[in-house]
Amino acid sequence: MSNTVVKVENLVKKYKELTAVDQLNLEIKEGEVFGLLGPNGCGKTTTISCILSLLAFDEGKIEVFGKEMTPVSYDLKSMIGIVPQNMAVFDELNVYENVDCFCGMYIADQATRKQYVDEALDFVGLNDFRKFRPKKLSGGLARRLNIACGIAHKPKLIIFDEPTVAVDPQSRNKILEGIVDLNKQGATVIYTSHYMEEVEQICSRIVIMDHGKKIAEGTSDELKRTIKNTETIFIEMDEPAASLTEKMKTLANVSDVSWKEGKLVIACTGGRHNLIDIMEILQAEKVQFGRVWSELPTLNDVFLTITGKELRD
Amino acid sequence: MFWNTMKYEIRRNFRTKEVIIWMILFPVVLGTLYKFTLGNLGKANLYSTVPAAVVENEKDQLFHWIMDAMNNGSTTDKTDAESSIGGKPLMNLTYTDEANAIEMLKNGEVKGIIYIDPPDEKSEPDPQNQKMSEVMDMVNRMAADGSLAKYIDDENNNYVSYFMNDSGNGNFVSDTKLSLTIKSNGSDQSMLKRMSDMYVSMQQSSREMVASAFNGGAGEGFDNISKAMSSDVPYIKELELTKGDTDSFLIYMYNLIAMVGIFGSMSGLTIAQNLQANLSDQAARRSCSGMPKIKQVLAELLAFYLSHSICVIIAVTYITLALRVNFGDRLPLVYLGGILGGIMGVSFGYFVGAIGKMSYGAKSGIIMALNMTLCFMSGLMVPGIKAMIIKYIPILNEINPVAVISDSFYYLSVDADLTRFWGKMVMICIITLFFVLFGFLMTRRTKYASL
Ligand SMILES: Nc1ncnc2c1ncn2[C@@H]1O[C@H](COP(=O)(O)OP(=O)(O)OP(=O)(O)O)[C@@H](O)[C@H]1O
Ligand SMILES: [Mg+2]
Repeated sequence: MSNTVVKVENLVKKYKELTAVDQLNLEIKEGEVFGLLGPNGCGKTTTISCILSLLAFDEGKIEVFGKEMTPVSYDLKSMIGIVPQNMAVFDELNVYENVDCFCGMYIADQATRKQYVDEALDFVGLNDFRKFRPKKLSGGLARRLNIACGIAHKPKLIIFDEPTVAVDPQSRNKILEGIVDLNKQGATVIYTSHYMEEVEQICSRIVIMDHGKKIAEGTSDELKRTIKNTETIFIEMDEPAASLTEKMKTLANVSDVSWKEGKLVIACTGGRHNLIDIMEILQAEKVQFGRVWSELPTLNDVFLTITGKELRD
Repeated sequence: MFWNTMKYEIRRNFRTKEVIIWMILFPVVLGTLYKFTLGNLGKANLYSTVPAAVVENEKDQLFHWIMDAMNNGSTTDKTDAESSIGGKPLMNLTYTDEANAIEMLKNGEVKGIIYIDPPDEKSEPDPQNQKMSEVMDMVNRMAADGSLAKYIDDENNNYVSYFMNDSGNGNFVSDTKLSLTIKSNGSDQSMLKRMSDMYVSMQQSSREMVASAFNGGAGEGFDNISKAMSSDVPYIKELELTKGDTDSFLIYMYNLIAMVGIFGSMSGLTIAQNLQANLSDQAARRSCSGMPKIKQVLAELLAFYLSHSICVIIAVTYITLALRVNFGDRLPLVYLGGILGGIMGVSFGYFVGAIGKMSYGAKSGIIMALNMTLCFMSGLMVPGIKAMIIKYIPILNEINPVAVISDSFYYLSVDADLTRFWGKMVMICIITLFFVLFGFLMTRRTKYASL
């Protein structure tokens, strides 16, 4: 059994009337890439700020590395790296100075610090931009600087709060790969995002949040298994006769058949050869059709099934 | 940890445009202007006020500001009537249109016309001014709802009016072209000529200074400023100033140094911004670090004290070496008073910045208004106020930071015995301690209800 790095028990945080985090329980184990997934405003950043003891909360208990986290837990804080959602660097300092400035709040020894800062700049690929001021960096590069400032001191726990907001797909992939690397080097990672693809791609365990509450938890596969739909088949065709849809519904694994926007959507609840059965019916009925494809469920479907709304607006 | 944080804070300070402008450029420019206009005029009360018309084909706030400062705000209306100095404006400017100005020149109502024309080519608006303009918008809004109104009415109040007027176009360094028309030659006319020449050369050198400071990149800004400053010196020497270190002139210089001290409050305002997680993302990030809060506060305060002291040292050194102002054997005390006054100013800013969760813009507005109120109460704007305060609420004059600085310099210039001066120095330390203590009590907290 690996150690618990972060333990959040019954966390409640209210902003006046609004309950931003509601009876939240989290347990993050050493070596995990833990994903906190949820739509905008569901309370991810608030949860992170509570874990970091920046925010006072109304109820609950938070432990980090087995000890209660307080604003003066400097020993715990020095083991944490934080990549905040908003850019938090100094405009007056260049790239190198920024990383050195923040790293210097953890690492006193100059030689070690220089090495760490160099490594961090290498890691995020900002070596060619050392002398640039943040304002002169592109959005994606600036994000990478934000990351370098949070990881240079080689923390054991790194918290990324939506580090890929406003980043193009290429840079985004680099960032995600980097996070996996950091994890391989031994860091425990908390990763928040409202992009389900990202979370699916890198997280070993995921908690889905909505309105401050935890609504599901598990690995990506575990989460998808919780929903009945295992496959959705799409067939491009004209609106079919009622008899055809009825016939398809009699198939053992088909739970629902509907026609919208020029395609027939067939929801399947299990089994492996649904497509073959469906094609047989289409041929028997001599129906004309265009493209045919099948989609596996996503975390969006999980979210949709639990909350009745899309994860993305 | 500690030194590294301090080092970067100092670096950041000297790369901040406002710091360069208000703490370095301002005293250098204004001091030079004083020197050229007052330094060789002999006793201040011997010259007569020169009437002149100004035709503004282009709005130039720098001009307004400098002229206002020259003619009104910086006079030393000491209400305790210990001095008979100052008070009299150098020029009496009428802002009017061209036709009227020519008429006035013909009638002899004015001795000359100063034309302010648009620059040859419009330069790009500087994005660095953006932030400052936001602050100024805030001040403007306060003015609109009346909270600042009573000060703005006061013509003597040079820097509020500078801010007020400058907020919109926000250019600290103007690009306008100045030309002068005079009817015949005379001493008044040559005085006008000298003024406008001075202005043009100031305009030029300040523009160069800012440009070099901000294009210089890492660490060079500061060097460039000092280079630009030293390259000014030959020009100044060329003019062969007549000796004229009159009392009034010294008091202008003293007031200038005091003003730099009070400006410390504007930079001190950013200290809380740098420390409190609910005020900036950078501070939130710092609050997550393993560096204890008390160390952060101390590093921050020391860095700001040091940066500001450097600015004061530059100002005083420039005034004594480049401008050849003779403070005599009081020079070390001028440095001391300036530095301590600056430290108090910075602490004042820190204290105000630590109060409540308001935007930086709002706090800038508040600190401006507070400075104005304090200047007002120390009699720097309206003579008589100070006497009234001394009569009815004497304690107020003792603890008013602006009054304490300006009084201490005043004593330095008129007292043979320095007891009163040292008394003020002690008071400055006490006030500083108060601000730091309460500032710390407010920034000590590390957990917030909302970020
Ligand atoms: N300082 C604050 N004062 C009042 N309400 C706040 C404050 N900060 C956040 N909230 C509210 O709390 C809720 C949770 O906000 P939070 O920032 O934690 O969301 P999030 O999951 O991080 O969203 P996003 O994906 O947009 O970053 C939101 O409804 C938000 O409006
Ligand atoms: Mg967030």
